[in-house]
Amino acid sequence: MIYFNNTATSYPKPEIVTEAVKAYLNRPPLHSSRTGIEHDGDDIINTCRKNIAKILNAQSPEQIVFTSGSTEALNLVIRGLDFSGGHIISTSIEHNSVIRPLKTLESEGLISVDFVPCDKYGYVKANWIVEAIRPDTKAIVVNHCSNVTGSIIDLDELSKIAKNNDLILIVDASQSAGLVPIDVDSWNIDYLAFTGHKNLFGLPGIGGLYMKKTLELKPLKTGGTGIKSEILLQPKSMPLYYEAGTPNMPGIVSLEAGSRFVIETGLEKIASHKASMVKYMIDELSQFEEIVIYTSLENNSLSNFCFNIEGLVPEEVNYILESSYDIHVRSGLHCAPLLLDYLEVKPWGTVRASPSYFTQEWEIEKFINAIKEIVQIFVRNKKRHENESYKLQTN
Amino acid sequence: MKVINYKQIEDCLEGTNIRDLLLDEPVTKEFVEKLGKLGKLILNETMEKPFFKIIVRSKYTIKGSIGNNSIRVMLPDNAEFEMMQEIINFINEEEKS
Repeated sequence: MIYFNNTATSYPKPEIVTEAVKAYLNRPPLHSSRTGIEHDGDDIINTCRKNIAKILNAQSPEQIVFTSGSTEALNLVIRGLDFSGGHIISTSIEHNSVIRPLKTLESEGLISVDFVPCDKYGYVKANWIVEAIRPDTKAIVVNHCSNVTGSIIDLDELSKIAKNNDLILIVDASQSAGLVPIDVDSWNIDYLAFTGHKNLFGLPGIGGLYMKKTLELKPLKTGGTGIKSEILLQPKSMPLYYEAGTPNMPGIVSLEAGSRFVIETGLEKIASHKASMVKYMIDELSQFEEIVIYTSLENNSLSNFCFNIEGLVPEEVNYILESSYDIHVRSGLHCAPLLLDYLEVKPWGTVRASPSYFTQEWEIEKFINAIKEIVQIFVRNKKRHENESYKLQTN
Repeated sequence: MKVINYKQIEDCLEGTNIRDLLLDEPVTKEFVEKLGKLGKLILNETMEKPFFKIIVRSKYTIKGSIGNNSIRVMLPDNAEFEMMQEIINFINEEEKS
């Protein structure tokens, strides 16, 4: 089996992740604190927060709170700030985890929202956002890296625009955290949402939110914290204010090991391997006129090969790859519906093949050969057959 | 050949009702030919694992690969369960000699 759906969830996980989760599950939860388990003299939750802070270049681990993933983190910040009567700018490459919370606030009459266009590769130039700024604009919510085409927005430039216009900058780093260098500190990012199960190699169900200024958001949930139990309101201290309820310990353990793997291996090495795999796909398959490629070699993480084959719906390509070649990709809208217009792929979307750091060259070669065969059999032979039938009918 | 289970496939495809049918044994060419009686059969035998598609006009499409233990059925958005049941019954029906 060849797994090319790492943009959805990374697989396989590094061995240290599976070992860490296994060890956690086999150990009795005897510690009295919520942290439960120890790692190198420090508790695992704190170590995990430190790892994430290091990857994001945050000043302090206390600026990181854990959530169930990016969706919860984005809801926490979008719903936790008071944007009443204001205008929000977002982009057309957003995932539904941004679109839906914003559209929900809009439908409740609380905000107005504009989604800035992108080019045919899903690229949004930071400057295009300037044109959407209004006197009542309060925040910019952007996807750092598209989960469809892999395009990257220049956060350094965007953060200057946000700062110059006194706007809150909220970043969805679901696809970039653990793959693309992020510097929340020097880029002056106010909030950044990340997920654990993609490029940070953790389990699904763990993620978090970086906050430049802590304790400014209204929490999404309140409840038990294990300590300060005599206080009847949610304790207003980090991270308890945002982490009510039993922590997702298997998730945190996996994220600690996964983020440690990223730090020890090096972001550059991971990104460069993935990019070389995607570039190989692009180099080989761009020679076919029947293949439309939406992943650009510029302003892109090169983590996805996003494409269509003319004359075949993406679902069909996906299914043929799966059932005849045992290659698992993803097709459809990829939960990013606004992007479809700009890629001109309505209503079926695209096919997305996303390799991982562990992908080997033979797997890419098998994929390339499969796509070449699909083009030959399902497009070229079909056309030839139709032409021959037409000739027979007209003779 | 018997259908032992089925599941709905969610694939970000609005307006398409997709089910995978799990079979008790791998798909054979004979089974594909039997399914082919339902509509127009397209079988790509040159592939290492031949892919087939049966288009039943204005009703549904069945597709899969020889050697697999499942096939996919693409039903119209508003299709009632009876249509799926019809397909399952057809598969489960013993071939009459």
